Amino acid sequence: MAKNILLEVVTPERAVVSEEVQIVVAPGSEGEFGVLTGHTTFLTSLKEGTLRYRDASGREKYLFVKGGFAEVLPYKVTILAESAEKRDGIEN
Amino acid sequence: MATLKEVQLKIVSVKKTRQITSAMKMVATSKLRGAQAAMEAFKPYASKFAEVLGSIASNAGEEASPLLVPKNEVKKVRIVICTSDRGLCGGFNINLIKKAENYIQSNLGDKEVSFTCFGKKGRDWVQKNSMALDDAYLDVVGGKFDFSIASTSGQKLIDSFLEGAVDEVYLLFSEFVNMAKQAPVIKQILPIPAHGEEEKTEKAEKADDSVYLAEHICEPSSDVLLGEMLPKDIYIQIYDALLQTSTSVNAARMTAMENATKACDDMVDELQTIFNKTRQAAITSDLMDIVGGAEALKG
Repeated sequence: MAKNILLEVVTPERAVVSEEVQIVVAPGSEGEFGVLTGHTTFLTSLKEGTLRYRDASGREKYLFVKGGFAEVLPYKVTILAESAEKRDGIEN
Repeated sequence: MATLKEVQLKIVSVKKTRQITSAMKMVATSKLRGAQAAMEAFKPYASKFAEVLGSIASNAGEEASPLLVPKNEVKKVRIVICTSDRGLCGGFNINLIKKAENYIQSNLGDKEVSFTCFGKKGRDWVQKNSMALDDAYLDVVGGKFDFSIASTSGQKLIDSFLEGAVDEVYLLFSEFVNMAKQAPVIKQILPIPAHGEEEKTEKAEKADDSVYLAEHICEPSSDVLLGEMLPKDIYIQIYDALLQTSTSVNAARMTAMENATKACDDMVDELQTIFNKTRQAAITSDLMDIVGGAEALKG
């Protein structure tokens, strides 16, 4: 099985996520894209939308991100968002 | 000499003042902790953003965004001034306002200056001197606020810059150096100043150290991305200024209140001495009376 990739989601107020994940699917401004480990370096702006990722144990998780950028490196994805909420954070 | 009763009342009143100042000190201490935590939480975002921005800015030209282009003639200047809402924090606001006055006098003498104010003290100063006030945001500095206040006000500044309502924008805030030192700082935020040589070499060294690759595939193009990121850079600077000012004001207030509490303690000590002396004097004179009376009876 492929190695995991590090996902970091940071907002001005806090670091929301920092963990090893299997895959990240993000809403890029030019279309949704998925990232696995070993992806080429890549920088894009993000639309408002849902960021999906599957964590190391295979569970699907969702984040709502707004006004952000994604920087993809072979071993790491960094999402810089103005705000990012976990799904349960919105529902409550 | 004051009577015994008067001294006693004074002691009570000073002790009450002491209670207030020490309570305010504790409030400032706890707010300071919150402000420092917010500052810490913001650091990863800011440094990452600067890193990414630096890497695309170095590839893109100066023409990429109108925010980078200085106006030919600078007539109208906006100063964003961050102060506290309330006093009782020593010379904190005075220092900031003095900095503004000096800066205007020495650098912007012949220009039309208007203000965006965070905090009541700055606003009051602008109004008292009947200068042009564009916007005032109260209840921000020193309390809780989030990034949206910085992005709303930042967007407004950018809009007025693009429309030509202002030609240059400066940001005046209090830098939090450490607990004992908070220094007023003024810097230009619009047009975005060109990166100095110093910064460039610093970045080059950084690139050598890490495996960070500057050549990204950019989507959309790097110029478009830069255009989107630069406004955010302004928001970040404003947010950072607000965070620093908040931390500074709470640190300044803490120090001021600690000094006030100490002064109260000293005063109580002094008054207590006076009280004892007065009491002693009263007893002595009473004794003199009794002894004198007894002597007189003996004949």
